[in-house]
Amino acid sequence: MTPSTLSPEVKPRRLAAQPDVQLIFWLGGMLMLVACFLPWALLRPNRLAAGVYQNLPVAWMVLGAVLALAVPLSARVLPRIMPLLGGTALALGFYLLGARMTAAMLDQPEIARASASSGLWVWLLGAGIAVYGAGQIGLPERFWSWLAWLWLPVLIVLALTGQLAAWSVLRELDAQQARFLQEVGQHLKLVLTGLGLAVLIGAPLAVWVSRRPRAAEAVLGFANGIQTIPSLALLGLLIAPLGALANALPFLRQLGVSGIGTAPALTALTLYALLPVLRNGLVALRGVSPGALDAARGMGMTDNQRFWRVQLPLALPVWLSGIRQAAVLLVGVASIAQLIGAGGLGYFIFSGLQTAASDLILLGAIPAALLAIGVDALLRGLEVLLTRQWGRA
Amino acid sequence: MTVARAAGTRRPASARLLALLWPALLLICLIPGVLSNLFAPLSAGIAPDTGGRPLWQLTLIHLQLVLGAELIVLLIGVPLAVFVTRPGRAALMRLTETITGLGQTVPTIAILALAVPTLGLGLPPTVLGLVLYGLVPVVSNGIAGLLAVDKGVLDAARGVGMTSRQRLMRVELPLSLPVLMAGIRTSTVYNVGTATIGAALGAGGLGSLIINGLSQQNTGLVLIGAVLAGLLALSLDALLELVAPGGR
Repeated sequence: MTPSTLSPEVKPRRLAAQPDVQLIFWLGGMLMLVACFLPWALLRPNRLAAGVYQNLPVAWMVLGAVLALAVPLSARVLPRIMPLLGGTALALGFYLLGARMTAAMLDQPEIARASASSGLWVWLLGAGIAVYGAGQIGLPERFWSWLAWLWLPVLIVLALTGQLAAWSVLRELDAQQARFLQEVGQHLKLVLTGLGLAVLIGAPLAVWVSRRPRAAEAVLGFANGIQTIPSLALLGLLIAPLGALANALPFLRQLGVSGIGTAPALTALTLYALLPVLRNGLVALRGVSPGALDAARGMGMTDNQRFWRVQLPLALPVWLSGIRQAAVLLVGVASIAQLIGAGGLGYFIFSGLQTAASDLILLGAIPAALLAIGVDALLRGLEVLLTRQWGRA
Repeated sequence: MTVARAAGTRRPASARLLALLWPALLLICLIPGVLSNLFAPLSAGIAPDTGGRPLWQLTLIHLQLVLGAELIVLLIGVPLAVFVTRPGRAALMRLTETITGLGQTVPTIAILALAVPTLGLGLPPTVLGLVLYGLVPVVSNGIAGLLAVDKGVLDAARGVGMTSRQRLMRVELPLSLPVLMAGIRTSTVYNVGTATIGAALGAGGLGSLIINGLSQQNTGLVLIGAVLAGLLALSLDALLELVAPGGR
């Protein structure tokens, strides 16, 4: 085990952002500029009716345009303030989401709905790109870089103080809070159980086949084939055999196995997650340098000790990246599990699609997207941590 | 991945023959009556109703959707990969990689569903989803392929007096083609699955059999759709592997 060296990278001071980074600020700034003149809110008399688009008030339009132009222009002269500028732009987008929706809902009956429109989404995209660009400048001072995260506390405060409550998606959430928590829980349960089963089956299998090239070929070929099959088709294919199994063996039905519901969904999720777990496991276990294993043997370690103390720790970071891919994949497949009656966030997406209620669709789609991004970021962080602790495999 | 590639290079002849297995199975299943009679016992004894359309027509719609979207993907993805890999655009390339990475992370159904409030139901959001999702492997493999071109080869090309345009067309693109083709293969196979889910938005194709079957609790219909969609994906994967050998 090598001790981690945490020496901060020394970067040269620059007076202006490099030309290629300036290109990013131009892209972000232009998107923000276009956004100012697009409609920001859509007001509908009820959750299903057609509605009227509302533009930003002129004062906000001018302020937004000034901020949009300031992004590429100040990147040239004052790169140090770029994180602050990007963070402010993003925070302003979230503030305006609340403020514009509240303004649209003023004097409207309770059943009216105000939803965010193209202007807001394009602004958030442009401001997000500006924040990304700020991270690319490589500022020497930590403090100025941290200002790019300004939007996060602003968003949290806005959400906690109920400033965003007028937004149609949160109205929808308000109406079905209990159901939402239940489906998020079910989604997490599906993903974690599927992932757990895939690791329980995949990890020993990967260790076993890593020493047998012929078996490795067959196992990988099978897992590859499974992943080629569309996820919805795989869910469909599992209905008949599991249904027949449940009919033939009543005790299985009592355990909850049937063609429809959680059992086929979990089977599909497990099969789907197997390939990344297996493939990265094999690559990781085989990637451990023979020198390290020889050294371990030289120290008098038994085969068992060599595996647990040398090969596995060295292989773990790479293996974990396979588990991360599997987890992200499962968040997606779990989103369509509702089609076979297994619930999850897909419940809102598909009931929204059936009733043409776009707020309901977003209530499922936005958390599903955020969940996938969050799971990815979390496991990436864990990988970095493990790699630092055990050195690169 | 390396294992699969090694297997492919060792037995090219048998692998080539095996590649025709899935398309052949797909064609057999498309003969009228084969699948519906096979799964009739699962549909209360009657041949499942496929909504008046023959199976080959639904498969063709599905294939059109996938290949049409793939064409748009190529028209956008390849120039984009070339644009961001030119000198002096390193930050733009990292941004593109970050965004395509995010695109791969967000669930397919979420991308499709997020487009519905703006584009309505049916074909437009599905095509948008197919293009966005299909772009990810094409762009990331395109960038990886172009970056992997040997700097020495590029210097040599410059040395013999090639313009930057000639270098791109005659050296960089041909050399990066295998990696790009692998991306196109991945993207096409992914999109068979995306188009299946697109049926939930009313895009038609084979997914509509699965979704109708599920809502009517007709297991036979579900299986017909699932078998055909699975075979279509495996067939395209196998056929494209003949053109683009190597792991996905």
